[in-house]
Amino acid sequence: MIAPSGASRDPDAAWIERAKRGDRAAYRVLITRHQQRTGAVLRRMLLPAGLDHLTEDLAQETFTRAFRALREFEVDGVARFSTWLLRIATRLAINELQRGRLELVPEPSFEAIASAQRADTGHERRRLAQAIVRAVATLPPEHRAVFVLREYEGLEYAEIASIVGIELGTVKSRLSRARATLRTALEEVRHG
Amino acid sequence: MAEHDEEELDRLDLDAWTVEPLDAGFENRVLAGLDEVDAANERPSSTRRRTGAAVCLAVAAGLLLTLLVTRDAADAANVIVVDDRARIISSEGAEISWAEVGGKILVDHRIGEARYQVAGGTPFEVTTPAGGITVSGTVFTVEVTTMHDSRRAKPLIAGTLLAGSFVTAVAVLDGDVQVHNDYGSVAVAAGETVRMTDASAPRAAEPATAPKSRSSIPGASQDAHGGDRSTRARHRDEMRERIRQALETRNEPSPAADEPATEGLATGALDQAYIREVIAEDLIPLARECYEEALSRLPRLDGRLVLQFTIMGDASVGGIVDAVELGEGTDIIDPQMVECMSESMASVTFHPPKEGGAVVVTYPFVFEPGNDD
Repeated sequence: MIAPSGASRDPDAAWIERAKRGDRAAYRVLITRHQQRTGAVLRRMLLPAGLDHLTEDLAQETFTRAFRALREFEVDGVARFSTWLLRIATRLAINELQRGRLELVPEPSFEAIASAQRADTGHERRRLAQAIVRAVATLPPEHRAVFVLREYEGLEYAEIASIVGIELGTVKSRLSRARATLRTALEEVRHG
Repeated sequence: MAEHDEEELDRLDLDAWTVEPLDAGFENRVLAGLDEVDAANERPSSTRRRTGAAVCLAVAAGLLLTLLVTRDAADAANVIVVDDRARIISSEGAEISWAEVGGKILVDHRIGEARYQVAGGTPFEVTTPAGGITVSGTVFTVEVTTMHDSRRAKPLIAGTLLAGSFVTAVAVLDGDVQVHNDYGSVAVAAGETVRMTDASAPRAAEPATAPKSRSSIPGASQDAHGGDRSTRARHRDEMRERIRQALETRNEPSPAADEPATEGLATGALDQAYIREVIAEDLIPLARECYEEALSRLPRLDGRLVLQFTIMGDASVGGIVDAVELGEGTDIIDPQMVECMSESMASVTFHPPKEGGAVVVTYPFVFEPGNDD
């Protein structure tokens, strides 16, 4: 589908304007453009806590909330639509995780991580994935969000700070601690 | 990334963790959800009406009225008046529609709970995913849930241990009804309750009562999730006996009547990923309730709770969780929490092990309060 004219800094600007006028096709485009990233962030936040089955529900809730509030969203404002969407998704995941956390710790006899995992080639890749999930499971929700948004979505510090609602310095310190946790876990796999 | 960190992790290692994309058709589901919200918000608040494809009946003469009560409805209960012959009082989230065809009232009750009051002599038929109810003047309650959610339903159908995807429970308060599906039919009189699923015949349950309020954990006859403990235990005993008989019939070694299954039976005959998936979907929500209740009494409670349980079953009967025990490595000793988790584990339904028999599973859970530092 060719994007309508009138593009501004936000690559979604034109579609947002059409969606504000009730254009269903524009809604569909916005969903299609952002659903994979939204789903990936949610799944990486929720799966280590055994809440992967909530991923689709929270993804749907994310878009529903965004579209209900679309009239208030400023296309030329400070945040891009993608950042705003991730903020909603991340906050939903953090709230879910903070409702009395319950972690699933796989026993050594359980080699499969979860049904959401794709089959990897090679025993070591599988062990690495298991180690990452175990290590991420130990991160508090906001640390987990910082780690996932940086390491798997490649977002910059300022954007992460805006999404999670913390200071830039806090992003860096939490990321540093998360990486230390992951580094230890990965080294155990490499040398264990 | 514009910013470069000295501490960056090995990209190749991190990429070992891949995740599945959202299911196909996700955008359609989002848009469908938006349509429902828009429809609900555009209608007058006193009456929620929506015409749609929920019930499509060609009516030569008479009235077609479809009332869809969605989860977004403002009222906790909705009253549907079917002219002066019947009333349907549905709970929030119930999905019910009706039509009159040739003087007979036909109701499509897809999910949720509703009470029906039908004037004497009125031909009245209710269809649910698990079967139908035929009445001619009576007062009765119908509750439809998915098997997945049945353990979290009100006491009316909690503790159901039947095969199938949907559970319909019918409790008759006055008059009598005929409850039927492809597997059987049974007449139900006032004071009686039956349950049926889309894969099993209607069968009698506990006497019809008003819905019980949830009691606190232990000391009460109800468990932490609103189910009747003795009823659930009785059902489990029945299932255990049926499984034992089925296994004996097939000349397989089976547990003695009063003893739980042992590791001597076929082990490793259930896929570990399947077990993990069932626990994640069916047990974790219950476990969270156990934990939240425990935190209300002990705000700093945390630690490890290991459950060792046996999944036993036969393909002709189904599977149950038997003999739940605390495993080595448990350091949560709050008895109420332990009891809640054990009962929750016992209520989970698994497919029977391949070829029948039993599988012993050891599963650890780590609980941490939701404090962020």
